[in-house]
Amino acid sequence: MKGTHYMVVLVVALALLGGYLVYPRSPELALMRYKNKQYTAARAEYERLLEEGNSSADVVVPLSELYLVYGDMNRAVDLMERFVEANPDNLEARIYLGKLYQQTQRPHDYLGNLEKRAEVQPSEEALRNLSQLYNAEGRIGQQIEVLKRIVQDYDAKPQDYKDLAYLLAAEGDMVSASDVLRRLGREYPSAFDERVREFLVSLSLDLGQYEGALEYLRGYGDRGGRWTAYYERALAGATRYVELYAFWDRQLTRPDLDPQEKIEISYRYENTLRKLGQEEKRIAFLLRELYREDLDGQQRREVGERYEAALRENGRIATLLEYLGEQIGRPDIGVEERKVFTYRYETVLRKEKRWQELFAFWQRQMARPELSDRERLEISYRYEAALRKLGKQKELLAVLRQRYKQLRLSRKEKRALAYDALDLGDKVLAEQVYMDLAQGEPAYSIYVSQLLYIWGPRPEPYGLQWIEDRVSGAHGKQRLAWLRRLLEVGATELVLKLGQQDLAELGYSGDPVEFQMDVLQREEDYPRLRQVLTRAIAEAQSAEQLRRHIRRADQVGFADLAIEASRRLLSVDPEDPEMLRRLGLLAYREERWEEAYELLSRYLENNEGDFESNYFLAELLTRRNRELRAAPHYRRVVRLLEADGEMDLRRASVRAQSLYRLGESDNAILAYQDLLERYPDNLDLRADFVTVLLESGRIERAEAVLAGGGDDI
Amino acid sequence: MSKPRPFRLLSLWFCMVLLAHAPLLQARPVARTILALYDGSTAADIRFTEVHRLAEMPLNHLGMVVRYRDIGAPLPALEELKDVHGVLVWEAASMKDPREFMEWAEKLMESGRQLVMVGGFGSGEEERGAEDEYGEEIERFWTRLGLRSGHDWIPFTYRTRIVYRDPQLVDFERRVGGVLPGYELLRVAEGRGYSGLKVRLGDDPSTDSDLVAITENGGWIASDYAYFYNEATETLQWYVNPFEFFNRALKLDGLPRPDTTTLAGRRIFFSHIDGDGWNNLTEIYPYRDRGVLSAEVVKQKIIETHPDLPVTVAPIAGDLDPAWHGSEKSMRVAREILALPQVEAGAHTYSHPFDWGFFAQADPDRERPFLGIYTRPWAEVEDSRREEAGESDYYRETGYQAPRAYAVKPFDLELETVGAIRFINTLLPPGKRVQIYQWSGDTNPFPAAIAAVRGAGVHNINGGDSRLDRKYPSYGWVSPLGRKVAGQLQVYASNSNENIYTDQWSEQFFGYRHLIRTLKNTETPLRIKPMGIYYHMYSGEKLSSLNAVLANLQYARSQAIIPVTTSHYAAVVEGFYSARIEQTGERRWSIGDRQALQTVRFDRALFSAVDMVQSRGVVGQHHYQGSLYVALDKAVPDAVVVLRERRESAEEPAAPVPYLIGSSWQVWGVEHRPGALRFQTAGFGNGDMTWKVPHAGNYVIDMTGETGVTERRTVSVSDSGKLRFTIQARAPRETVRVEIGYRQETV
Repeated sequence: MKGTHYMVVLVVALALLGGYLVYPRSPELALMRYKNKQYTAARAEYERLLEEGNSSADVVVPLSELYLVYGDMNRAVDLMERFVEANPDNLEARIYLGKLYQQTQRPHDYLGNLEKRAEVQPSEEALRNLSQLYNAEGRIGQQIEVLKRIVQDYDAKPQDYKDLAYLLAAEGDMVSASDVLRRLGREYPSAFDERVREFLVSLSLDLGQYEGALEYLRGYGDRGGRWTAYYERALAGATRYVELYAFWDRQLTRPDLDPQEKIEISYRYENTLRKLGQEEKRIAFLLRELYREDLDGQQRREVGERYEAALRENGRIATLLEYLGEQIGRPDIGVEERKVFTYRYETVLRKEKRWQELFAFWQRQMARPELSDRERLEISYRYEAALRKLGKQKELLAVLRQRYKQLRLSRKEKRALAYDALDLGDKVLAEQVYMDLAQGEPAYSIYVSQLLYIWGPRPEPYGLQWIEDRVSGAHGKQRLAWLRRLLEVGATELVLKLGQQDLAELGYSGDPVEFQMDVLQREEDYPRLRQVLTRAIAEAQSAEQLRRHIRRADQVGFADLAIEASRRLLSVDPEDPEMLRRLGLLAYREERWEEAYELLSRYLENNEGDFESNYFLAELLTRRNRELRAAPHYRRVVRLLEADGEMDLRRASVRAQSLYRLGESDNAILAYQDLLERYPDNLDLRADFVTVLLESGRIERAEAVLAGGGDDI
Repeated sequence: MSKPRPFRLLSLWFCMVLLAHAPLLQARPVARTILALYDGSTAADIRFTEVHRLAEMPLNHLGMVVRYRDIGAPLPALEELKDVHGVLVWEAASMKDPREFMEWAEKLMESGRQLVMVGGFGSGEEERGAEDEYGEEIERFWTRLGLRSGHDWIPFTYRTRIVYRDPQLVDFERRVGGVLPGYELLRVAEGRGYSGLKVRLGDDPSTDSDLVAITENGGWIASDYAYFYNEATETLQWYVNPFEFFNRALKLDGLPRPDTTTLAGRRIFFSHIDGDGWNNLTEIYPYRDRGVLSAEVVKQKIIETHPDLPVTVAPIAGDLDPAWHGSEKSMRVAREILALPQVEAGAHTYSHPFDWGFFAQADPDRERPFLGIYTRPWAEVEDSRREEAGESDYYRETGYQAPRAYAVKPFDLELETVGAIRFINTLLPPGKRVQIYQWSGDTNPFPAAIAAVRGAGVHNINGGDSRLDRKYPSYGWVSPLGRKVAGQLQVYASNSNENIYTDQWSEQFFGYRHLIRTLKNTETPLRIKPMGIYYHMYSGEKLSSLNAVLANLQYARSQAIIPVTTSHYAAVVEGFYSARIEQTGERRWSIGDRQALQTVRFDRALFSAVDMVQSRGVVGQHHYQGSLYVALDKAVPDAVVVLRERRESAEEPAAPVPYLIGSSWQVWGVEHRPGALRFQTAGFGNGDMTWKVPHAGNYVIDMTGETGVTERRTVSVSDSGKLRFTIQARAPRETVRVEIGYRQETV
């Protein structure tokens, strides 16, 4: 029984042990559930294991996958991150974490993880991935470092070298970039394609490594386009001129180039020579180019200009002038082209200040029979301009004279020439031109005026003769106009001689005495005028004549004659209002009271009159104590003055006075007061005012005004 | 004595009636087509052109339809271009003799149309060749465009530095820098435009070149300066801001943009499932032991748990048809799924072509070499053939082992399209019909296939595969609205499906969760796509993928969306292509022929608002991200939108009549009556809507369903003037008539 008992116990124990041994342990159980898609249970199982401290890959990896099933991406990532942190050298885990980052769209974490992976265990694959990611992120500096490592430590591909070179150059490191490309050329000759070559050439040139560039340009310089440009630059940079010239020579004789391409090459050729200071060669080259047969007109002109520039820049003036002279004299040259060359020729001489030569040149040009007048004229103008600039008046005048004499000028040109002549003080030439211009012109044309201006107020006899000839040759209005011209120059006698009958038409009513007096008056020959006028007044037959004589006497200030004429007029026409007024006022002024009274009374009987005549008559009436008759005239004075508006001292005091006379003493005082304020220094005024004040019994104010205290009133 | 007060609103109604019927003056059609010239000799299909891959989406966003023309074909006469607003030429390098094009383009510019050139007439040495030959013509062409040629090509750019960059035009997704591509010397002619990116060789200003420029006649981007691409990392990033560049170069500012992302003021949501994997047994515990199909899991775990979100289910007929690879069970599951009210029926082909182009030629014998790969092929094959197929040239070229999944019968376009639709229609409950055909495989159907689908009276979708997330962080990965070939429109899905996110269903089965990032990025800062959740039945196979779909749907539910069916979205896109806009006043447009598209958008419109009185057929307006989204009424065929200025930008614009701000249901048939607003509405889930009303106060809302029962509710509106209410979910898409009574304002 006991043995049996032991057996049972043993069997049970063995069974339990066996059961324990065959029953799945926890990770296995979790895995079973995971594989059976019992995700909830599997997750719980794994989480429990993790909590118990089992953070092995067997637990962590499936658990993170399970988190993803439920969309818990952060937990999945956190879990793996912790695992990787604890196991930094576990590459597989890191790879898995990288995948997890990709799957959960964490590109930056993915990149960081890849960087760490490349640190832990660098590999070409990891570095390539890094390079691409840096490129995608635009992190150039880091991509450069990675590519450097690939190129240095791994089996780099040609594209790696190229990428690295481009990146280095973009970052400004041209030296390293060209080193990388050279290395590419050594290690992968077949990958050293045209583009790489061109890149390397470009870098070398920019680095000033001309010899290096030439090495890579061997066989490429003749290709045209950029290659040729690189080649030239390299040769020039390397100062390998012999080769450069030989190259250009080859280029220039290339049958496939069209003339324009050749021109471009020759331009670069020349340019380099210039930069290198090889001026003799440059000039010789251009001269050779100039006579190339395949150039068309335009191309030849371009080359010619370059040749001229070269000569000019090198001070080869004689050659330049010789060349330009040849061009000007070319039989096939067109007008425009000749002009251009002529201009250039002059410019050279002008710049060189070789005036004599320049003038001689112009003279020669002017003498050229094949030149048109227009061309000659242009030369003449340039000639003139140069002389002006130099202030050479004498020569300038000679040019003007020559121009006038030799060339057919338009009227405008002649006029300009005459102005210039006047400006330069050559009246003779100016007169000559204006006489020419005035030929056939009407009497009051601008040219005649200019001519008369030159002749002055009293022309020489030949001038008078010239005008006289015009009078004789003219009819109607023109004849009168010319006569007027004669009068203007004081040739009165001549006018009288030429035609009494014309005088009426000239506005003198056929009266030669009027005409004579006009002339005398204009000539300010007053003694003779007085004689003639006195006689004329005495002999005057009509009121009209007398009125004209009065106007003239007034104009010249012959007051006595004016009065005489007025008196005579009044005897002819006793009611002539103007004469009544005129003589009335005159009489008043000369204190002939009776006469004044009589004349002014007659005048104002039928006329309203002006303020003066009214005032004087009113004063005369007042003086005769006929205030009642005076009052309407004073009122008219006030009205006329106020209507007129303009109040000078005289008018204002007449008004004040009139007001006072009219008994409007307050208004009068105000008016005086106002006047005194405007003219405080006028003693007459002050006196008048004091009189008014005294007469109106304002003694104190009169005293004050007298004391000069007008301001305080 | 007080003066009798006029009723202002009463007079307002008169105004509205009068204006709505006023004749439109000087209607000027808005040309909405951009003619893209592409090189047919290098791009076999427009799908591979840069215009289609990169430029068309931004152009679509700006309201433009792109029409393609092979540059090798004769250029169209200008009279044929009445609907063309401008021309885009991306890399004209292949033009052997560009003179004809240049002459044509000069006339085009003279006619007032814009020309955008991306890249010149070749590059480097080639270009010099072209320029030497046609130098004068090329020079004249650039001058006409507003540029001046420097007659030189800079092959190496290590001495080039950027001297000016317009931050609005360049450095968009990536800063221009690093190793700059070679470029030609071209600069904006004085006074003829402005630079977006100016570079210089060293310090020599005479070498300045404008690599991005807007000119008076269009725009210019130098070759390789539009975007960056690293093939190894698949990194694509725009240097140029395509939205801004095209807007400026093509002079599109201020135009109304037909918008396919938004309906009733909210972002469109739609979802569709391709039937692939229908019969796969799920591995999800505990179903895996019960022989449950993936489709059943999707039905149970996804569709039935989201009755508020419509989904279009498109089985492969060959997966269901017992005569092919289907069974009674798969048919039963299909019937059950397609009977669900929120499920729209679609068709995902009969035999699931992978390589549509293969079948463009109607020659069944071409498929014979592949028959060994198929289970139950339409003809017997020798065993040796079966072994050969593994690493064929065909696989290397296409990535497919065979041109389609099933080949029980020889390929027949009729069976593939109409046949599949008919077959699936037999599984539908009364009243339900297949509405859409979902392209399979390479989603590159040939024109006859699209025509066949359209002939069957259904819409079509798929292709595009847009992504905008951390792995593909560029608008360059966002597809245009569709592809138009030979007059046939293929509508692209607005987002990628889980197959793309799981590397062809090979790993990271949780990956579809990343869709959310694309959904966010295509919403902000620009709403460029609706929210599309597109997957396959095989997502029901694994817990990771099932969870991913559920997470995406959860996200959708958390957003302000308007759920619609997939065919509805396809009709919106069709409306984008057909919409006809006429400008009838300075800020007045008429919008017709728009099918299901009911939103026009105005960009940079913070200080503009709809003049609700003068407009017609406008349901509402909503300012969002600087743009003004205008909701149109589908009951009004020719809507008239009139804009006005507004000074305030912080609040919804005031209007004398109520208007819709946003709704999760469609709203149409809006009638403004004195003191009341009437409209009809329908949608999925509960109908959440917000209206802007003229005044605070209490509003009485009467909601009458199709049964005629009216529910009355009173909603109080605060000073914000926002009236918010929810119509409880009834049967999906039941039309509810709503009348909102509001207080009349008296003056």
